[in-house]
Amino acid sequence: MRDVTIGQYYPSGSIVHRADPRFKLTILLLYIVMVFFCESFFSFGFLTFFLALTIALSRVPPLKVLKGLKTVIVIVLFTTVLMTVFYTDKNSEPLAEWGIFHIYLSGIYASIKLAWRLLLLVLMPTVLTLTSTPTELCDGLESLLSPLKKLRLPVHELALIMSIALRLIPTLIEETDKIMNAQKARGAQFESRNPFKKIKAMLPVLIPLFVSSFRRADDLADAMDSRCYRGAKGRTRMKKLKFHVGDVVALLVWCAVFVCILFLKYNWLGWAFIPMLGI
Amino acid sequence: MPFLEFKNVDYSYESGDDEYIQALKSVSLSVERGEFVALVGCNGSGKSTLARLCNGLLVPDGGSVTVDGKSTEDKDLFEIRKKIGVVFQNPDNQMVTTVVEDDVAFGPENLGLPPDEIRARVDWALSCVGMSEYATSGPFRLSGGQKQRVAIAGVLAIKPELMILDEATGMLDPDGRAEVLDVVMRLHREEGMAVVMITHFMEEAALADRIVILDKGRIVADGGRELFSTPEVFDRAGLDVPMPVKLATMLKARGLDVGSPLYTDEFVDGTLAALKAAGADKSDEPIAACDAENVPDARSIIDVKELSYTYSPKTPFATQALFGVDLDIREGDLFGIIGGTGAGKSTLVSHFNALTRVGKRCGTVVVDGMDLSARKLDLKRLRSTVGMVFQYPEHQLFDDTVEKDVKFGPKNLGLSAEEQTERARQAIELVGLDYTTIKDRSPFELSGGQKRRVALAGVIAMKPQILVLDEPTAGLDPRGKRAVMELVKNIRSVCPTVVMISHNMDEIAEYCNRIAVMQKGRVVGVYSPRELFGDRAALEAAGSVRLPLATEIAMRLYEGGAPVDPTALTADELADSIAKAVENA
Repeated sequence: MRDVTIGQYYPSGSIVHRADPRFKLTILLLYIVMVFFCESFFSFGFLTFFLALTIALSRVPPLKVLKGLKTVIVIVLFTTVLMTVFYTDKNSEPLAEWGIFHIYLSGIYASIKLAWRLLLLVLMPTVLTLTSTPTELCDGLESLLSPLKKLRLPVHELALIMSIALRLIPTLIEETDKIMNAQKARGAQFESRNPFKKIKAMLPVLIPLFVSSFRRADDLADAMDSRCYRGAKGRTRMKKLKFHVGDVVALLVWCAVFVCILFLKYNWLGWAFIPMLGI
Repeated sequence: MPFLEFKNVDYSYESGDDEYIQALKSVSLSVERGEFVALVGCNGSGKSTLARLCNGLLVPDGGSVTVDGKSTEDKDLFEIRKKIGVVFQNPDNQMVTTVVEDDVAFGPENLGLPPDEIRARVDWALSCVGMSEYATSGPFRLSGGQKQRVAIAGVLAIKPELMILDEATGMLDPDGRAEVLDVVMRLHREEGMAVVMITHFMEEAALADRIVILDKGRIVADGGRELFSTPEVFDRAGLDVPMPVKLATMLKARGLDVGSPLYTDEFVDGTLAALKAAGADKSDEPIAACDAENVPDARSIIDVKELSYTYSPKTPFATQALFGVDLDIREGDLFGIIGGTGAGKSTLVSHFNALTRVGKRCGTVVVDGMDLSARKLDLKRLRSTVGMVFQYPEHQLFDDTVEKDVKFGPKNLGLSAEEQTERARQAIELVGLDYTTIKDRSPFELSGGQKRRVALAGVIAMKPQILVLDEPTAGLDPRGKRAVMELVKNIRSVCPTVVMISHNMDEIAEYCNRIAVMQKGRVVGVYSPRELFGDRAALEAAGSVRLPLATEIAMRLYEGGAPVDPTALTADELADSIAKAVENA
């Protein structure tokens, strides 16, 4: 529980870990767009190859990455099955039919692609969180969003709020545990099926939790004020995010991948080999 | 011109509907650069308010506060806050980020320094407090003392001229307290840092050059260490004096003058000299061997056998907290459990009322005939048998009136309305509060000490047979501590068996009849106070156990050749023993 702050960070010191979080976030964005441009099995395979390459470079055990699928695998299977049995293709005969359920060959293809797409979508963010600490992501996001300051968006404040939340969530979880134990020791029971009763039973936990959260907030505000905090005004950073040649190279490679995927989809130059790569 | 100056400062705060409490009354105080001032006072004397007035977190209602000539009423407090750093009480509420060095950098970043300069200051500040090796750790791997040292580094990195410690050691165990004091003393001596240390521990105040006593919002004394020679001033302000001063006063009353010692060394030397002068420096008869109290001849009420426990088992985070613990607590025991941070004390006691369940093949716990390793448990019966008071129990208060809050337990037991009220009344009276005046008040508007009593009453109202207390006196001032301990003694009229976890060896020595010493998840031994504290061998076997203050002094006198009882556990016992030595000469 207390490890929310490090998230699922898996330190291995690889080049992926050391990469600039701003570039990692940009690449993630690019990648997500790419996933939606993938159409043929070949382009899915092509993108998967680069994903696998990233995982290999990160030196995170692949099983750890696949664990990220644990929460979504049920949804993926469920949608895939539904997609398969409800898919209708007017141009061909179904392979099998039971009542309202039909299975078409094209339906099988489409649902495999759907599942593949979902898996690709989940895996890359998993790699990102395995290779960057929440603090790094926070800093990266602040830096990427900083142009929005011009639009008077409180980017610095938002980033600070995120950072404080990351800092305090584990403390509050611990505190909740303590208060629940104290009330359990006074005979409280939290195991009720009725949601209304459950909320009522939680009051002896929620009220002290609120009280202590406010106290903590006050304390923290005092501590921050005392340490000369006055907002983003005149503030500098100790750790300047610095990008290296490697970051730029990585971004260029992914841009190239993007271009390839676009070509695979639209085939602007009418290359004959692209249709031969299959559906 | 003094560096920090309070001129006739008044401050009051609102406490509910249009009621004001005057926290400070025409306070005048000045602190020079390089000074080391201890600001002492009991809980509610206005100490923390004073700290917050120093750097403009609060602004005085009357009078003025100036720092280096600048008033805290100015709009721009930046210059003032650069010069005055404050370290607060709660180690968990001062860190802004999840990485130690980033947190220390927070101040210098606000100053707008260039990155290289910030880096240099952070490294310097962390090395000053001895936390360099933790620079990239998260706060959750650190002990309380370490967190406070990080907080001090965070203040240091701003390079203030004055550091205010607002009860910065108040929530720490003795080891953590020693760590923090060590750092503060070094900063004062080596870096010439001016320090204002707000505290109610007199042993800490004795380290300062100047002592300012605050009582009910007024400064009642301000002077050098010679203040300690007038203990009545401290007594009137609800404070103690350091143990050597207390002992010297007691000895004077018994007709022995040992001078006016402030520190243990001075007291030991002075007393040895006085005893020599009285011809009582040698004794022919050996001191009576310590009377080993045996295991009470009562029935066993908590019986722990071979208990093991592992947190998050079968994950990479698995940590074993208990290793085959055996323990036998008898009815009528006031049983102490001591041991350093992470020794497994809290994990052990949380088994007693099944908040932590006994795992399969992890031993057995039998409480009042109930086998807690059984799969089905009568939790209601168990929890009305074992009352559990956690650290800072006032943080669990939730209802809008004191009476309702105290009734929460009895209500959960399914008692009738009359029985609930009756139990609440008894419990509130037992903790020394007046039932009729307090029952309809909100628990949130009570003072810290009262809140703790109400929280205790909430557990006592369940009429437990066994009361488990985890650090019942943590965070209270000396009088509050003593009052709670006396209360615990009284509670035994209705709840005969008490199990208490504590870091405070004085309390353990004075109140417990048996003590279990825990270390790294094991019970090293169970002793009577005299066996444990009177026997260097037992102490060494028990690892890093601190001695009660009186015993520490007694042992040093004994080792210096004086015929005093080296196992004296309290100031009274020691003073009697010294007086007896003089008589026998």
